[in-house]
Amino acid sequence: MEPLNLPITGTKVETSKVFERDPETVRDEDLREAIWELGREGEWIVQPVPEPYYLAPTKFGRMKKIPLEHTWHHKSCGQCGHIPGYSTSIFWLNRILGYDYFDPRDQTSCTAWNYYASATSNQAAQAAVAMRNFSAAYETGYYPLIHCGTSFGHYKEVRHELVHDAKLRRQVRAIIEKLGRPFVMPEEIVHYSEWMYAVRDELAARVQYDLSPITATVHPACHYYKLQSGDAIYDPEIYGGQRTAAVTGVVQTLGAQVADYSTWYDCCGFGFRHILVQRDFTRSFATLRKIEVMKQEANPDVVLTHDTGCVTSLDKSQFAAKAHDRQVGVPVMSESQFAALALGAHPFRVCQLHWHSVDYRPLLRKMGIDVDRAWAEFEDDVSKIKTGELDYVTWEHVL
Amino acid sequence: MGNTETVLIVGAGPGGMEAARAVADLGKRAILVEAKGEIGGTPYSSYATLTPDLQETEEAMGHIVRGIHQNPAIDLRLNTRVVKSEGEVGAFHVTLESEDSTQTVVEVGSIIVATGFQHFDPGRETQMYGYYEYDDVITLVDAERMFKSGAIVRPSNGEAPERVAFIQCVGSRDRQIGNQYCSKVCCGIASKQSIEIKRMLPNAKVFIFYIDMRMYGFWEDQIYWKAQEEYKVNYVRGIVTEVIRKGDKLLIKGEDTTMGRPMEVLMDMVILSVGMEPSKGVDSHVIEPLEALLFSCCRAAPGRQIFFRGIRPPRLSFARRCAVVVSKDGDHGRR
Repeated sequence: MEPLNLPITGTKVETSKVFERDPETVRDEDLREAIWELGREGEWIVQPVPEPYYLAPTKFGRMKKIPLEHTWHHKSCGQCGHIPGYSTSIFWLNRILGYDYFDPRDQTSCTAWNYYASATSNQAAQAAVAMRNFSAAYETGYYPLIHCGTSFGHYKEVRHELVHDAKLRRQVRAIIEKLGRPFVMPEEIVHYSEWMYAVRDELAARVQYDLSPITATVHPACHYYKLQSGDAIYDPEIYGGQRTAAVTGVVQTLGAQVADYSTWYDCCGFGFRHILVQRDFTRSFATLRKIEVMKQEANPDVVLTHDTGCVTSLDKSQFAAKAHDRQVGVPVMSESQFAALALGAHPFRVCQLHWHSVDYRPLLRKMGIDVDRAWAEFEDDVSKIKTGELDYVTWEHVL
Repeated sequence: MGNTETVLIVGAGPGGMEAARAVADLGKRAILVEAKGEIGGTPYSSYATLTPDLQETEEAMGHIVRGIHQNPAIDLRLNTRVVKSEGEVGAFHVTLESEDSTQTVVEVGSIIVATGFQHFDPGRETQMYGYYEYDDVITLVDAERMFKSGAIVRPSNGEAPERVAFIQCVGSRDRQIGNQYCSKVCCGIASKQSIEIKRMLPNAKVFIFYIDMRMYGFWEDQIYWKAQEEYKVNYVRGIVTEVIRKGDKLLIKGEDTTMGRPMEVLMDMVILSVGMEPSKGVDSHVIEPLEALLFSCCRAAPGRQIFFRGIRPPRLSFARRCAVVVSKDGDHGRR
């Protein structure tokens, strides 16, 4: 396909009308005081956000505490299974910034995927899984940082239920006590992309390449901002504070261009039930409603998002549309992978782009990354592992 | 011993003005308190014409406003707030504070709360209507300003719109944002405005996207059928979920619930029929003794739209087209 010469309007709104944020008007109640009050009454232990933290603006003006370090990384099942470079990039960025973190080996899957697919589970079981993970984080002394958008949104809804339903609290507490664990509620529930937003200036100070020629389209993850939207990060500078600033704020700060497109509010196609039982629908929606529209309206070099299911659907659906000669072929990755690349992370050892379906090489070359050399280095690693010269790639290889 | 001959009315919009006039007509004294510097409320300050007859607001309300100023039985206090209130029905001691912080205590037997409404801010809508992103997405109030200026144009380029869509129930009948109630007048106002647009721009196509049209009183014949039959306004039963820019147009997306199909339609201008919420003035007046009474009043009339929002729970909604009256004999109810 020939490159399109499309005007990139960016994230500045065209109107002079200004949305005045007022925490009093938020429709999702601020649960923090209730959480602390239940803590004072002995209902649970409240785990405070560790200092130093960043205060991020939310949609209606409430400031949200985002921990910078001592974070317990609640990974995503689909992320580890399909796009391992996603979480590796987050860890790499933590190490580059010198932030202490913990990568647990005993985390339980949140079960929200099945919940949103109307497939399984019940209220107490789901809440027990959430609280089990929170207690696991608390026992390590690290603060939970949720990688998955769906886990993040789901845990916020579970938190809402637990605050308001004493019977549920008792049920879940009994389960957690049976496990021999403390009953803990974190002060804030925090998504990793909020941490990315919090450290965006620190990241920008370490960027190795000129990203100004790069145009990205952003797919905001539904379960990040459509569930209890008053708790998501919104910045008045980005689309007038009417769309979440997660991802977009980071990408712009890194120096790349963010382009608007008309189906930004649509689902990525994953749909939870659809990816399980109507996968053709997912493929069609992800490519015809999202990728093709982005291509027509913005012709991006890359699609960036902040959730496992979104990266997977948007990336791994494009082969189907390509077979039908549709206008697809845009690489997809998380903003954490993009930021890691921009800061000099190895495309294969760290970002593990070889797990991605769409050709990412044109993007890397446009960023100024020597992709052929990087691939040769990676092949060399593999050869050494095959011969036994190397057991596995370690952090020492990539920092 | 209270002053049962004097009634305090808080808020000088249409409800408060009418209450003050009625009190005066009954031979009592009315103290009419208004936080702003002028009376008439939101309709008088914001609307060019009123339903159902499309009468000019000045013509419809001007004589009421002048009547308040000229009535010797009405003690009008502009730029004044209630900062303290004590006592009970028949003997309230109310402290008023003027703009220069001067405080005066008035003794009144009854209090009428008519603090009115403000329009819903579409920035809080759960749907993506783009009011704060696109110039050509406006509200009913913005449209009234254009009617006052004599021209309806796309704010983005100053040109007359060829296709205009009204979206109903923005901020009303929406549990997600906590406003379950119908604001009752938006359907009528949208229909009125659609007629005005067609009068000014006969070639424009005008659409009204609605959940269901709620035309109260005689407005169905006076506006609803008139808009369709005389002015060919298109009423589409459907839910609009997004407004986004497509080229130099606005693309509205949603569901045509009659056809049971998704719809995507291009428009030049979108007008959001914003509903009503308690005015901020409600919270700025301190009327504590009333709250228990008001609450019992509302409980006595479940399901009826008696709205008041006080400074502490129970949080009720606000008065619309009616004032909540607390009188000496305890017969507090609606007007």
